[in-house]
Amino acid sequence: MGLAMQGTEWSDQHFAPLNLLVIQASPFCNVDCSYCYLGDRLNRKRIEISTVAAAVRFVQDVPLAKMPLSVLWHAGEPMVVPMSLYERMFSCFSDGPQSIPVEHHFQTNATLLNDQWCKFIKQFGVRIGVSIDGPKEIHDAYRIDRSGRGTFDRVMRGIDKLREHAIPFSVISVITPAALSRPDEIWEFLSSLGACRLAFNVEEAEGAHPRSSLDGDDLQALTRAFFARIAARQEQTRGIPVRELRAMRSHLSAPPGSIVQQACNRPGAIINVDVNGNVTTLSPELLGQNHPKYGQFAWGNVHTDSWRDVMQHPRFLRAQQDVERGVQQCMRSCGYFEICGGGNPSNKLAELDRLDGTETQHCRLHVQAVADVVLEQLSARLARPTR
Amino acid sequence: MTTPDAGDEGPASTPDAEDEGPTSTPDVGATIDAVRRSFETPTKWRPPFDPPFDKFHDWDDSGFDNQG
Repeated sequence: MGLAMQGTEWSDQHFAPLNLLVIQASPFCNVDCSYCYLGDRLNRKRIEISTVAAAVRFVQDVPLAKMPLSVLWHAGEPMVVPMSLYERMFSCFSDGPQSIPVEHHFQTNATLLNDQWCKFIKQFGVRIGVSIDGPKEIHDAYRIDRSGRGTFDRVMRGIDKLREHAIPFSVISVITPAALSRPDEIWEFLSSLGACRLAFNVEEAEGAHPRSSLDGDDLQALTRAFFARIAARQEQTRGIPVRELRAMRSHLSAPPGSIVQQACNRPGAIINVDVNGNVTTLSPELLGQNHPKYGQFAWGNVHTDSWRDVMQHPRFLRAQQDVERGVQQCMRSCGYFEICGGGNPSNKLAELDRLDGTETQHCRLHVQAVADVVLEQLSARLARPTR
Repeated sequence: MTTPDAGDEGPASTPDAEDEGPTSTPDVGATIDAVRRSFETPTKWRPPFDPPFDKFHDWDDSGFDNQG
């Protein structure tokens, strides 16, 4: 794989095909989680239909990894935008000569879910991910509204609506210090929700949240213990699949020498479009950020630029050169490289103030801790005599 | 443009002096290799492209063919 950049331009062969199109329908969020990375979440602007239509035109030139393409409405609460606008936005993908088969995804705080939204979700087959961190006390420690009130009860009402309408949903839960010592409670609670899959993110330093409360030397051991307990419970009960464990098992049973390709550091794999039509690739969290070295993370606009323009934008080339150097450094220095793929640029920027750095706290807590747990689990399983 | 093969990484170039050195457990790479060698190559496995740790939503199509 020719990863090294030659000259000052990238050729197509350096890019991955598009797996995920992230669109910011609005930067606004009705919830004010204390660990949120988004800096503009009081901005009530809504995306224009013309911008969505331009985004559809924009991706015509982009090689797609799969059909249907996953379109994730995120970087703000998707349900603050009216259903009627979504109907028109969805039709930009489905109607006309440039139509693209897509599957729409909402990652939502669920507080605005009601019968009308549920009917809409069913009608358009929208895939739903709900953000909930655990039982009330744990969830409400961070996921609060602008009055400082916990949002747990409102989220649960939303989940009740999904269940009432038999809408499948997955759950993403953020691991905070409040959660680390209570894996059993969290497992039992999240397992009881009726979700089809669980995913755990760790609270991380990123964007508008420059310092994670999971920033401490002892936290890798605690996080490993958390995942070990979740893995044990999952294995004992053959319970709900957990994204991190399932992915790691897959990576650890792949042929020796295989290297996971991390979409966040592979240009083209994810394309991000903000409410104004600005475009980036790589980690979605970078979109809209400013940095003294890299300038504004916006490398084109769907109204005026093509994918090729983005690929040749000087600020993209500057950033990507460092991202690639960071991945190469990870390859040389980190024993986990094969099952990680070189880390997440947005975490490197937030934690190390550079894109060409290597290990971050996010690596230690969300990759290495999980890998250690699954390695131990698989080693134990493989050591058992076969019957 | 095609998805690059996972197994043909080019040679590493010289690291910059200012870059940080190894910080992870030195033997973990060998442990990963040993665990992987203990599996028969899954017939349905494909190079794992997709973000295993994507935080925005739960990917359900990320090369999990050989996992129950």
